Amino acid sequence: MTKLHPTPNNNDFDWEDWKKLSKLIPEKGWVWQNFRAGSAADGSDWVEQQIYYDMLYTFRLGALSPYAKGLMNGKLMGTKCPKCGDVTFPPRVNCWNLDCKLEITDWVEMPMTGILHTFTICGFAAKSALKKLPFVLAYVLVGESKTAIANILKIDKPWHTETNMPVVVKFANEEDRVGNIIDFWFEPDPEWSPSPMNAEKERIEKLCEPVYEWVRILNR
Amino acid sequence: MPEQQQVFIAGGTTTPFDYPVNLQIEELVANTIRQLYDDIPNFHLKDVREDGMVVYSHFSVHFAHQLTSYWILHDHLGLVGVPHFRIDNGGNTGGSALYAAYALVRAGLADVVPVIGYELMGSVSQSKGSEFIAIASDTRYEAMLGANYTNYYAGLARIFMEEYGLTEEDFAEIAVKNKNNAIATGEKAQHYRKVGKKLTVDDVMGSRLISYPLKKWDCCFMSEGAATILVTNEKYAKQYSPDHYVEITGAGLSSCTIRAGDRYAFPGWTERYGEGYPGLGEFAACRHSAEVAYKMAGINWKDSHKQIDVAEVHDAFSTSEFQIYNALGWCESTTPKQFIRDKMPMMDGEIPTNPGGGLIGYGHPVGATGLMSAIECYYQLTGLVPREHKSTDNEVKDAEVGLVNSHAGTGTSISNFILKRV
Ligand SMILES: [Zn+2]
Repeated sequence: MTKLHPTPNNNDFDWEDWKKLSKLIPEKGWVWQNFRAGSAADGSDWVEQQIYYDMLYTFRLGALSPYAKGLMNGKLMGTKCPKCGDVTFPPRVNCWNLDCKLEITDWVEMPMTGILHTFTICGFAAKSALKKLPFVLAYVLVGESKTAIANILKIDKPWHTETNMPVVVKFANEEDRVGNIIDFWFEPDPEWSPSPMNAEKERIEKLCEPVYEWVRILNR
Repeated sequence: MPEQQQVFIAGGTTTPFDYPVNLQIEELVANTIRQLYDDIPNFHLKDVREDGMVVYSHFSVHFAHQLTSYWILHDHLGLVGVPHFRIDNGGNTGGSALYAAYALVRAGLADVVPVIGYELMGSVSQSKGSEFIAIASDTRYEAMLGANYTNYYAGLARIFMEEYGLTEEDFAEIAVKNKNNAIATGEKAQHYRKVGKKLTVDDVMGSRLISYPLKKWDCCFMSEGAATILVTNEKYAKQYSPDHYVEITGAGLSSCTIRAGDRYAFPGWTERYGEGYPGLGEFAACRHSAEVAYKMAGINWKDSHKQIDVAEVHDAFSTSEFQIYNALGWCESTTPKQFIRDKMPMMDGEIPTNPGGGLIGYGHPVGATGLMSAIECYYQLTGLVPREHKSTDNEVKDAEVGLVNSHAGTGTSISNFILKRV
């Protein structure tokens, strides 16, 4: 028999608990808000109507659950193909090699170290992250993984970020972990020290100045 | 049984691209069709009813909170009864819709296929809009970080920059080229409408940091608009536009990982191109789809830049346009650094790229974008630039062969087309 990802019986889960949790954020659906109307300089009419719509998502992680549980326990769980041996983090629950015919992979615990492959210094980002600017988004090869994972690199002076620098994984405090990528981030390996300032680093430092200023105003 | 046939572009037009606009989708699209009626007296939607289908090109349902919005359009256009479907393939929605129309005509299943692209994005705040676009990334691993596509692209650009010894100024040259080309394109182009003047490399270098190495003027802006292009067989091409039609002689479509980090050593690519390719700096799906399109059109990879006279490519960012040059094989006989320093993609260079302004200059209403690129390329190859732009400043004189590129995700889906003047 070919091994498949299990399809557990719905009765095995405690759905009632989830319903209680969902009630904490009541959904309202379509809610009328505002309107305004006028005429443009060329005489054409305009009308604007504002309608609010909210939604609460519940994502069920299925075969990826060991990854999320790993994060809650302060562990990075990757996958390894029993046929070809490829290790990937983020995990892939079936092997990516066509010759392995979607072999179901094994869970492996990843080391807490990696190499930074490439990066950017964000001067603008999504609304939820604006107050963290400027921050470094890094692509890191964790352990022997054949894939790089994107996450935040926490570093005092963002312009000192360098490709191929060694980094370590840091986890949020246990009580703050939620089983999502935001549970961890990267920091420079404590043994590592940046190369001296150069033209690019000076340029980035200068580009960051107004970002720091803008975030100071935002935080007021 | 339907028989295979050659595929042509017989016309096309866009609305002005701007943001935000006070328009509904049906009036936007109706404007493009009415414009085509004006440009092409022999065109009639009844031909589509008898011998055609309609492919709609639309990216996000989130902006209107409306599923299947093309049903509203199809009904509005009076096309009830005519087969229709919608293509969504991220930023490559336009290119993929064009590919679908190409396939339909090529297969002989339809003889005239209007491809209708549109996107309204001004219904939500700009930051919410960026967030909506960012949910095309793998939200389980990426969106929660608070990063959006600009940040991912910037990361891919930084390693590309290091690998080829490029500078911010090299990218700024591309941004300036596209912004300034859009000034000649005129009132349909977003940069002309919003800024209305030429920029310099200093302007780009001095603009605010978005995500290193990208500054504000290296990026395209959120836009709204529509575009319609007519994909036909030879009979309809000759009937509609006897003096202004082009053949699609090559069409390629390829794909890459959704998360850019996963392509570092993806088996499908390492088997095809060897270890270390594409890494994070190269767009393998662009290379692969170009190889397919070049082969169909009889263009050699290594001297492709010599066989193409004009190109319209997906410059969401100045950096990605540069990565696209490399993936298209244009730097094979030189180096990326030398390619830009020799001003090859400039108006007077060997392969003028984005003379219409591209996404940076013309705009990027996602579903309409790839079609805009194809339409601008079509104008160049058919001598319609003076009529359409009311200027010859960005006309590539006597262009015979053009390339159209459309690009999605972090390089996750990419199409390339070769158009040839008939
Ligand atoms: Zn395997």
